Amino acid sequence: MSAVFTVLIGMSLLYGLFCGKAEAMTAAVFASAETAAETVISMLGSYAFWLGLLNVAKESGIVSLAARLMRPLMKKLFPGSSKEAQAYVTLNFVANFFGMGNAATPFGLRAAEELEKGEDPDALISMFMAINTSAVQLIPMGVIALRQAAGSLMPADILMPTFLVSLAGLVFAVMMALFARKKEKKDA
Amino acid sequence: MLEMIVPLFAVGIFVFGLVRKVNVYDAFIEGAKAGADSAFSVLPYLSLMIFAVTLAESSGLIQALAEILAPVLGFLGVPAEMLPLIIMRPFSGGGSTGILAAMLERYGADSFIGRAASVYAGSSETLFYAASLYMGERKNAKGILFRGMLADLFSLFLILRFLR
Repeated sequence: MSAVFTVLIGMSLLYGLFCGKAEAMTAAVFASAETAAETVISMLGSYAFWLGLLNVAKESGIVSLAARLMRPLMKKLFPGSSKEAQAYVTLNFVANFFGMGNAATPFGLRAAEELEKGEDPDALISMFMAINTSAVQLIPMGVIALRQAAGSLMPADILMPTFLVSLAGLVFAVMMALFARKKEKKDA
Repeated sequence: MLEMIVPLFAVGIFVFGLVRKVNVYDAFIEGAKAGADSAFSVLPYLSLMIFAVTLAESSGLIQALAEILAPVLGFLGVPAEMLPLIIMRPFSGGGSTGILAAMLERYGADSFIGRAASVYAGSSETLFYAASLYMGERKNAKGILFRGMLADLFSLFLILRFLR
């Protein structure tokens, strides 16, 4: 991250000075500090609201309910792995689905650990990565909060498209992982 | 019907909680406190990334890069304004949040760029961060990352194709 950042501001600075944009850049620096603070303040309300709501859902046992519904599918996608591994994959997915990123990470770490013990860990981890990075989320709270902060008239307008695109992305990624598994088996 | 999703969802969760005999008031307050904390915890990322993006923008660097890459991007149908977000997204959640915030401010949240950026940020993940967490050292690492990036491109293609 540090390297990306250094290159970005270094190049900006050099290019800006070279093109005589010093004044515009000075104004931009002051404005950016203000924008950051304003964004956080206006995000506060919706973050608090959605995470409050999600906590109600969590306390109601929605996570374990969803995990039970997904068990048959997990068996198909992760053959040759333990039941425990499949449960952690599901919990990771469901936690991400309900926007509980903090809860999802420990589940994901346990899932990866257990999948490594499976019959074909390369294929199992590949499938887990495909599912984990698909970003299927019921309510993308962070994005909606940012849109609200930026004065959108329809902050939740992106709800349906985001859901559909991430779902299509998930199906695409899972199919690629299945295909890669088949191909590797053939080559072996 | 579609515009009812958010209120229905919110009320539905409360009702579900009540049916399951959850103390919905306490549960909500507890979650909301954590939510306020996490909103504040993105401030450092936001101030850094908004600074970096605004600098790149006001110095003319982004426009210059966009001009150089215009033929390639044009061929793929990708607006040059999306470039910083596409590059940052797989590396850092905080970083891409900052970029998205700057983009919404700059181009308007309800413009095509604003909506496309919102959907892209919401439907892709920090691929390299997840890889560093879960993948470990393995012989098919390259394949996994390649497929992950391909899936992001697929999402981007869908967004540009259907969101206009």
